[in-house]
Amino acid sequence: MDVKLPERVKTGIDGLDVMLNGGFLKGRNILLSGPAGTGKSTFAIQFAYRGAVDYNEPSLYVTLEETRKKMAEDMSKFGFDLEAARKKGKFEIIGGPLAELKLGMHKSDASYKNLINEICDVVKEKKISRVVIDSINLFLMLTKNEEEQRTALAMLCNKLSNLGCTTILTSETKEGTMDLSAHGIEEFVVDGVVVLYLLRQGSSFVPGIVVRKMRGTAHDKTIRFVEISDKGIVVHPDEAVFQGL
Amino acid sequence: MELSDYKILLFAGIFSAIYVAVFFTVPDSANLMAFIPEKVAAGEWYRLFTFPFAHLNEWHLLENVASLLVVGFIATELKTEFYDFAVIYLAAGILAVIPVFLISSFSALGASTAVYGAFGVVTQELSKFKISGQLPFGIMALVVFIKAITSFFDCGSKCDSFIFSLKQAGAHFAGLVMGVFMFRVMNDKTIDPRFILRGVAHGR
Repeated sequence: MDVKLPERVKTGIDGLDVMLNGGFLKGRNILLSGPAGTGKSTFAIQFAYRGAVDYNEPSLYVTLEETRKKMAEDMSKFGFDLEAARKKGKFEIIGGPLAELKLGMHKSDASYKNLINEICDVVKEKKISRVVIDSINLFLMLTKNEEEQRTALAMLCNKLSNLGCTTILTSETKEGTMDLSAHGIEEFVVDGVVVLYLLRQGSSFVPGIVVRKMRGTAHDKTIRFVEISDKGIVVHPDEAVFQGL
Repeated sequence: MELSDYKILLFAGIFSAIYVAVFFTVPDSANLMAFIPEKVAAGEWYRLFTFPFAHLNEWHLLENVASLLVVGFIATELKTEFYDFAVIYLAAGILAVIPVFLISSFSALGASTAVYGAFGVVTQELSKFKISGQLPFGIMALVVFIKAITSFFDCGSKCDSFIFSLKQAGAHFAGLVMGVFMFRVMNDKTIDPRFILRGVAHGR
């Protein structure tokens, strides 16, 4: 049997493609985890926005926390014009604060399955190639129990993979731990795990990034220096970060 | 909570202040402003809109002001939409006297039908906590009729106290029902489960 690995997609994060030997594998699910303030949402928006604008891959951003307006305001400082990209039909944001989504689900007697189906509907309608779920922690809060969490996660990842989408699922982890996800199940379901850190070096914290897992491709396993510049996230693939003791 | 979250409470406070001011500054306000069916029929239509602002005595005023502030606190706590609360408070009380007007020649005075309209709103808002609106509505209906029930057991079905209490309860119940009805009409946002994420993003 002739098995061909999928083509690669550029991440849109300067320097990260070097760590990944050319980018993410198309159609794979990647967990992007890290504690608060490490730049997960910026990373995720950059992946979606630059994918849409620079690589002509229509992107869908599913937020379960922020409003569309606030995201557009926050990202304008990096030069990401989300509204312009949206008007061109290349970038779509759906969702909003979790409380509003819960109210909507309550009023329509919907479950997480409806949300997954809605995401898939948008993917098909807009011919989406890249999807971001921000965050998977909040998405899994829409389920009723642990069993449903696993089912929901697997269903979401499988459906988006089958539609050919390269997906980033952001996950907030606790400060000071080496956990890869909030529930401890996400990293086993996804194809890849990228972790953002804030590592202590002496009296300051240094942002770092590591590719902990990436099925189907060799990758750099060293924690590299990452910078949040005025143009977004920049990875320095030649600069290793050493954690102070 | 931000200051804007207290709009309902501010609204209740302003109306309470108006009721107090009208009571103490407008001479003979009860006679001038009450909803008296014969006078309304004779062309004094303004009474349809003035009766909630006049009160019979201090006790009547105190009851309504206290109830308005209580329901304002509850609605604030339940994060009721200000627009829902204000519109229903202003309209339910007035609309509630229409069936009373059609059924009997009962004169109406005071803000209680409006207050019961607001209570109708909060009974439905409890659905935010997955509590069916029927239970709190039933409890409120019992509260509305309790005076009439006790009067019935005190003096029977033909005494004035019972008849007055029953008419009063009828008006209050109409306010409660009108509040529930208006809230349901105003919140009939049947959400298509296929458009939840898109609906929230576009500020449904």
